[in-house]
Amino acid sequence: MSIKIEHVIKNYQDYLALQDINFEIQTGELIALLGPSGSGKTTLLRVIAGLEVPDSGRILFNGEDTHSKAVQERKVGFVFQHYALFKHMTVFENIAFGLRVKPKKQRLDEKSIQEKVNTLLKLVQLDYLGDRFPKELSGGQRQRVALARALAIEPRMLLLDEPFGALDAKVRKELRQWLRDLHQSLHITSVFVTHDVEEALEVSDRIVVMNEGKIEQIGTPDEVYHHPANTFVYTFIGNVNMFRERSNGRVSYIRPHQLEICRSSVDDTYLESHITHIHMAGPLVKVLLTDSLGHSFQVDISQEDFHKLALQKGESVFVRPKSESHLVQDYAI
Amino acid sequence: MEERLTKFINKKHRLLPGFNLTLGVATTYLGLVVILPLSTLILKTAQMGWGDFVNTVMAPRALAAYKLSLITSLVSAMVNAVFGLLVAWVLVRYQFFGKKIIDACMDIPFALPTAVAGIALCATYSSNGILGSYLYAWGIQSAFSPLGIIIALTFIGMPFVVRTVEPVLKDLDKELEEVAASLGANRAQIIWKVIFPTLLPAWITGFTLAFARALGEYGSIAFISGNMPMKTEIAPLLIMTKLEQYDYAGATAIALVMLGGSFVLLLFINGLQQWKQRRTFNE
Amino acid sequence: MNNPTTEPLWVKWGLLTLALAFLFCFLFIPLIMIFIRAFSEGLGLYWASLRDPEALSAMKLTLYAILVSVPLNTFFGICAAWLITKFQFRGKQLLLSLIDLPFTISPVISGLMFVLLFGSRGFFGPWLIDHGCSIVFHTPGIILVTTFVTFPFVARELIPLMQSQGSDEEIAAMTLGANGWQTFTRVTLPNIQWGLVYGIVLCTARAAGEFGAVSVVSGHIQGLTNTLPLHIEILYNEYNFTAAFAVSSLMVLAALLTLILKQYIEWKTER
Repeated sequence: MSIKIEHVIKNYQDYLALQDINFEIQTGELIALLGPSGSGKTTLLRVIAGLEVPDSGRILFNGEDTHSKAVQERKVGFVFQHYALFKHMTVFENIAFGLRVKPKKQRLDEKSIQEKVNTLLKLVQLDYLGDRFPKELSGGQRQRVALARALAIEPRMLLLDEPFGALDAKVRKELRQWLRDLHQSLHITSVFVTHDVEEALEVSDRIVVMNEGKIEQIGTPDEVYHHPANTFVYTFIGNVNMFRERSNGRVSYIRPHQLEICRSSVDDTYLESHITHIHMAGPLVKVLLTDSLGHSFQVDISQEDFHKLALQKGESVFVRPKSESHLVQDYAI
Repeated sequence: MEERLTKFINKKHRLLPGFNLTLGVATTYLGLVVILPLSTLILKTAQMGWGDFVNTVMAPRALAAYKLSLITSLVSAMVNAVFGLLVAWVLVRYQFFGKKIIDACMDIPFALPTAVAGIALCATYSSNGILGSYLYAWGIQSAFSPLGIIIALTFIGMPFVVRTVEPVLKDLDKELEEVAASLGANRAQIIWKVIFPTLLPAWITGFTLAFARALGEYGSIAFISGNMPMKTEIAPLLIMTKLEQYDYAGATAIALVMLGGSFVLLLFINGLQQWKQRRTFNE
Repeated sequence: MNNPTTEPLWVKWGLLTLALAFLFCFLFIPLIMIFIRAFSEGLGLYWASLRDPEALSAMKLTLYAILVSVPLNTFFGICAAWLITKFQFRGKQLLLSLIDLPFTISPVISGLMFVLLFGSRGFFGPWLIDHGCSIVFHTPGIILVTTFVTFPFVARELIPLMQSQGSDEEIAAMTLGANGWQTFTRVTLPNIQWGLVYGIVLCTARAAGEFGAVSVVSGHIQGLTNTLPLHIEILYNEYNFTAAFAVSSLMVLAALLTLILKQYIEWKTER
């Protein structure tokens, strides 16, 4: 199902949570709402779900205005950051909840409910845990139960609020991949909120970058990473060095891996700098430097280049952009 | 040897000082103030002989007193269970003028001497009282009757359900209701299937506490019951009457039966708390 | 569109009205009645009832009972809480149940136990009376039984509080070279002070208000073994209603003061 968001505004007392949001989600897309905390991304998700009422603007599902529709009628699968599992029910009953609360006429018979829940348990790879209580599960398992429960009502879209926020790093990575695969097989329109850039880049089809209640950029992970629309997106996504030119005060940005270190300079595009620290980070070597003005910045080079150059802490070297086009100037963005 | 070893290890595990001192103080004080008086009850009954004991405990007047105590306590605890849940709900979920003051006032029945509660209720519910005069006009005898006892016990036990349910309701995650709504549950289904089961353990605990408190209550009842044997004489009143007639053995026998009853109730509450702990999911 | 987490307005108002009606009938109207009846015959009689010598001696005895039982139970409560929360030992659960016992015993039975122990036909009574020390029907009996019924309050307040705080801070203090007493006064006490005050307030309120147990051991000797609640009972049974309500109003004010203190403590600890 497609979702269209038109001029949505939402105020909380004296603070503007959403300022005129407009965008469209295509059927079957997996969208990430990315932004720092307080950027309005969770509010937007809750507005789509019908948990919050926007002050003005419209949300259209398949072109149909949802304003008069309560949460109950929207058929959205909503997954909360802390899962919000019903603690007094088993895993099985949690997943069956949405099927059991249907009006009598639409309700499946007990046998079909059982079948359906078992299928879902298999889908989320928890078929052996049906009669456990939520407190007996690990964080990752709970997350999957929450997802299965949301899927049980055959939602027209899936809305996930920081789905991996409360998990440790390893489980997070596994679940990310799993969510990607699940989306591939079900092909259900999905929106998830995250503040983790890597997560958004890795999982989503398109990213909506938000800040202070506004959309800063919408684009594929590639577009957002390589062609950031403005300073905010540039600094928010990935590491970035900032240079201020002495003559005119102009600011330019460049990513650490887009710089290279040389032993000698050829022309004045080379910046003479001091190595202050060398940090081995797996396949990459992160070199911290200071230029003659005292600005510090970072260059990421491969282990190979690092050994070729035989860099030492305290040495003087020359740094320049690998390609002139990498250097992005503030006013140009 | 082994015993000495474990003793040594235990001693080493006590990082903080004061174990012997506090253990000494606590057991001595408990022994003098609690255990010694309690054991006299059993000793006194033992002096009585089995036949006398059964005769006293099973006397029609005693049986009527137990029955009245049980029924009035149960009814008042049920009234408190229903209205306590309602009051807790209103105090947690709704905003209204004077809410904070009313919330604070919920502790009055705990802080007020029971004798004062007794005469206050008499002034309200006796035939010339402000509410009693209407009730009597409709033929409802709201004082010096079992109904009067229920009213007093309701007053005394009021805070228990409110105070046990309130914190659970406050901590209840709003997301649980939202997720239930997103799964298609209507408001009634959310309340019945999501909120109420979460409150259930606390609610039952509150009910049991109110019930236990009602069973032992004396002060307020002494004023409002009228103390008529076989009609409005609850068990604690019967003990008092026997004491006033210097029938110490008889009073003790009835007391022992009541103690047995509250002991069973105590076990039940403990079991309940363990059940609650199993269901209160804070990992 | 209605919000998923609220009820329709009419349900809300219905529930609110019902709850308030219940509270008015069972709580507020009876309380107000005390003041109405106390002042029904004018301020003069109100004051006279409070300054009656028997009322004054009842106040004095109530005060004595508080002054003995509250410090004793406070000392015990701190010891018991320290013992239970800082150490692991066998019989801990039993100790906890015993501390709770006075809560679950009917006050009349509490009084009865002391009559059986110290009454003229009790286990120790005859010997004590022979040696010129009467307990039941005298002031010591009232103080003893008050101590018994108010026994758990301080301990009950401190145990959960100290349990939730753990003993990391105390152990840290010990590693920094503090001795046991210093650890207690400088680390534990500041942490539990408001819980302690609350326990003492509850203990005091109950000590002042206890009726059933005191009634059993008092013997109702006017001017000698009457506490305030017993004085109220006597006045009431003598159809001296205005005086009974006047003394009651005093105790209502004391109860309200307790609640204000409680709110203050809650406000203090929340900050």
